Amino acid sequence: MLNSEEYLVKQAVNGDQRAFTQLYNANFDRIYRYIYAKVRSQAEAEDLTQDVFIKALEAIGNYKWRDLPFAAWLFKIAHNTVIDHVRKLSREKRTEFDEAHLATVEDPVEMSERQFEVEQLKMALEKLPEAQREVATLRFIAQLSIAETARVLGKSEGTIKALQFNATMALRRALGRIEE
Amino acid sequence: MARKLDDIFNECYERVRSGEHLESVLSSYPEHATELERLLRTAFDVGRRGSYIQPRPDFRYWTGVRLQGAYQYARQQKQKPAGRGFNWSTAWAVALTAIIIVVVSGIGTATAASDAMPDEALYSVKLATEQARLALTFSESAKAELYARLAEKRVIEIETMVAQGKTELAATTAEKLADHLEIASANIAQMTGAAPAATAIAPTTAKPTATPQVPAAEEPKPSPPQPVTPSQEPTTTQEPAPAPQQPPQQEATATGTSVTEPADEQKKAGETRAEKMERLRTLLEKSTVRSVNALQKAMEEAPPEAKPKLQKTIDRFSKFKKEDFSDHKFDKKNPGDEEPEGDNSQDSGTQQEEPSSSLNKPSQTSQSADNDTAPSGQHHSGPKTNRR
Repeated sequence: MLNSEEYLVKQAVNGDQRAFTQLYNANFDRIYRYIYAKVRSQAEAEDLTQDVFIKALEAIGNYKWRDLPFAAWLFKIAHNTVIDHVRKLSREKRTEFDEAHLATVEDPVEMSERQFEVEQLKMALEKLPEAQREVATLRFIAQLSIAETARVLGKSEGTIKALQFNATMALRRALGRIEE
Repeated sequence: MARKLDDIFNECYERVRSGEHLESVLSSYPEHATELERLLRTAFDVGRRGSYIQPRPDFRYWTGVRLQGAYQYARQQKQKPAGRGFNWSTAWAVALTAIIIVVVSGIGTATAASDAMPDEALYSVKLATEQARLALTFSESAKAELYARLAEKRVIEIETMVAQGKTELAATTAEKLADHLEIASANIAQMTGAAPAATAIAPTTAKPTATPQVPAAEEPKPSPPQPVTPSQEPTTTQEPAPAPQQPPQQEATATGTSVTEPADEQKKAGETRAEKMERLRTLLEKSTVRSVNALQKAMEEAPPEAKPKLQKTIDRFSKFKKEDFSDHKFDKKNPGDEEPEGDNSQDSGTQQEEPSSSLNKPSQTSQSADNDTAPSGQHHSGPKTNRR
């Protein structure tokens, strides 16, 4: 029996636009969030998110569920896209980081609190080693499962669990220190 | 052998994520409870903060539009030759042209273009993005809605051009408006044909003469469901989700002024087909009357050589009004006549009543249609968002 996501992917691969749209809607925000957490620039995150979905569109005809769950496949594209981007940027001048676009709330005080909390999070993530930051972003922000995270990063589930644990301890220290 | 703490932490994290209460989870590992609680709170705090980060709604929307266009185009290339009936190649060529414009010029350009006036360079981008939206809108009802909104934008453009003394551009824009109105009324007439109950409200709109220039061959055979606004939350249910998530109206209307208020949107969500048709008719009537007023004002100040074109356009509107909309609102002879009972009740609460300042014949008899008519020279769009 196919699960609903697997069914949707099958439909999309066969040309069902609604299925494709539904997959797009289900994954767009979290792909963007993941990329933003990595590049910390709204403009770059938008460009890269767009790239990811265009690449996914180009490749979906060859996608096979048995090789990789769909979310892991999509995040692998995102991961590789960001790596390529960062590699390219390291040879160029790094653009300035900018504030994230946040979900709008009516209360301006709450809005600025949220902005502040997101900035703290960015600073805390910045302090982590790359591998831990990657796992924390995929697990806690993009909400991938351990298995999916392992597939995206090409590591064992045991390694991911260890990285996740260490990342959480480091984040607790970093966030605590920032808040003090 | 003792289980590693990272494994226990992962198990606890998954259990809380799937809805189990924190205390219950911690009670499974009392020896690690203090440490686990701190870590779990940190992990969920990170998730909460991360969830505040959202893509801009118009970015999400336009990326979706572009991808849908590209996806369909790729499918169509695979499935050539195209079938009969709906001319996919034409529609998608139009959509892709607009998409390319948006891609090449960037989202910022498309957004900037949404405010462009006919005398501005970005106006062509605005028209192209409108065409993209039209090409991606399939049902009669959704098309009628979109054309009615576009008509409102054209009216604002006409009024602006008249106010600036650019009568030639005003007349050209009015021609475009007349096209929108014709197609919109044709869509409404087709809706009327499909919904017998609606004909009781305004039987005149179903007249054969009310459907000029119907692009019937351009309609897909089975009309897809009404456009939806998918929920913000990702979903993996099998319910169809035929459109990318729409940004809030002001941003979704990539082609110009936001013409629909949020409250109006909410009202629309629950309206019946008949109510929708009546609302659209009223919108179209208002657009017509406002543009005729603006054109008549332009006539007064236009140089003699420009007058024939303006008059021709005004004539087109006059003919159009009588034939295409619920003529009972336009053809009443006596200004003192009361509106037929219930005639305008559908719109109560959404339109500001103002004294009519119309200059032409219909205005004397069409109080409802003139509610938004601005005094000469002003760009007034009633309670709606104004663009400048």
